[in-house]
Amino acid sequence: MEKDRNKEIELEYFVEQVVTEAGLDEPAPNFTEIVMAKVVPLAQKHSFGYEPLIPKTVWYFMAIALLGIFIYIFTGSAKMEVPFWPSEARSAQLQQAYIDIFADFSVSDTFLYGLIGLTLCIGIQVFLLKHHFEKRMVL
Amino acid sequence: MSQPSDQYCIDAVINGDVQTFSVLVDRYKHMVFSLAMKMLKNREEAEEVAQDVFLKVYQALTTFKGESKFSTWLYKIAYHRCLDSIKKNGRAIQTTSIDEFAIHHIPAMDSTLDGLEAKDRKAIIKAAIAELSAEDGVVITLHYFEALSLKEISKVMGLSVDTVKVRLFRSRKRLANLLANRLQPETLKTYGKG
Repeated sequence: MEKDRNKEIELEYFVEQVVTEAGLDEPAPNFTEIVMAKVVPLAQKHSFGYEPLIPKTVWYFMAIALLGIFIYIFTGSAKMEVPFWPSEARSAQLQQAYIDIFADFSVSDTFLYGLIGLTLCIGIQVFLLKHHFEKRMVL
Repeated sequence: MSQPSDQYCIDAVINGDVQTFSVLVDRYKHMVFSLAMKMLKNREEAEEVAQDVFLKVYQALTTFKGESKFSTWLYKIAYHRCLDSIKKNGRAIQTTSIDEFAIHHIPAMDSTLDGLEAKDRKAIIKAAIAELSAEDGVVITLHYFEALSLKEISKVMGLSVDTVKVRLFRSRKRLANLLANRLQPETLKTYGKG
């Protein structure tokens, strides 16, 4: 037992010596320049800060346009054939129409089970793929 | 002048100082390239993969939470990128057998290596290391060059600490065996008998 342990220590010391002597592999002399030449264009396109999908100016423009439309309608400048707010009778009529559409809507059990199964599969795959890609970047 | 810390460089890059990223590249390029060489066994491919690793790291810099060392995070990305390259090229991860011969001939190997010219000695050792399997090469490199603990290596490779411990022990044996094969086994067998 003691002999084996000594052999292990001897092996460990020997390997440490030879590996250290061999040293690390040397990349191309211009390695850093090559990487930086690829990183700089990325930096110009890609910012680390939060970038909203719709820029602020677009939101402001949309808000002003919407406000303008409402002012135009409510000040009575607009002459519309259909009233802006539907009458109570018309609302009830519309609600009934929607109920009628779904009254005849039916699906078979097979379709329903299939749909549930597919949803579960997609849900599980999304979770597994997310886990797979995250474990490479997170410690 | 002291070198800026990794975290200082990361913060600078995130705040828009892209050029500071070159400090990190310079600091870790040898290690990342060596890992790629140990796994891919091809200089051009290793160079390409190592460059790609730094690009990936740059893009994912904001996701680095600082819970581990930056180097451990970087090596993990490098290790997985190399595995992807191995799979993409349809290669299998090679393993080498363990021969009990070498462990009993360490004094002989040591002495034989000492008798060689430094240049030849280095060439023989490098050739033996290059023959190690991808996984063995990574374990040896991370342990001896970066002095990474077993726990840190386990994080990089996604293995348990015990598995890494066993793998490191076997990798040492395999390397000794590969060296023994290159140092004329007949000479080693007669060592100490004369």
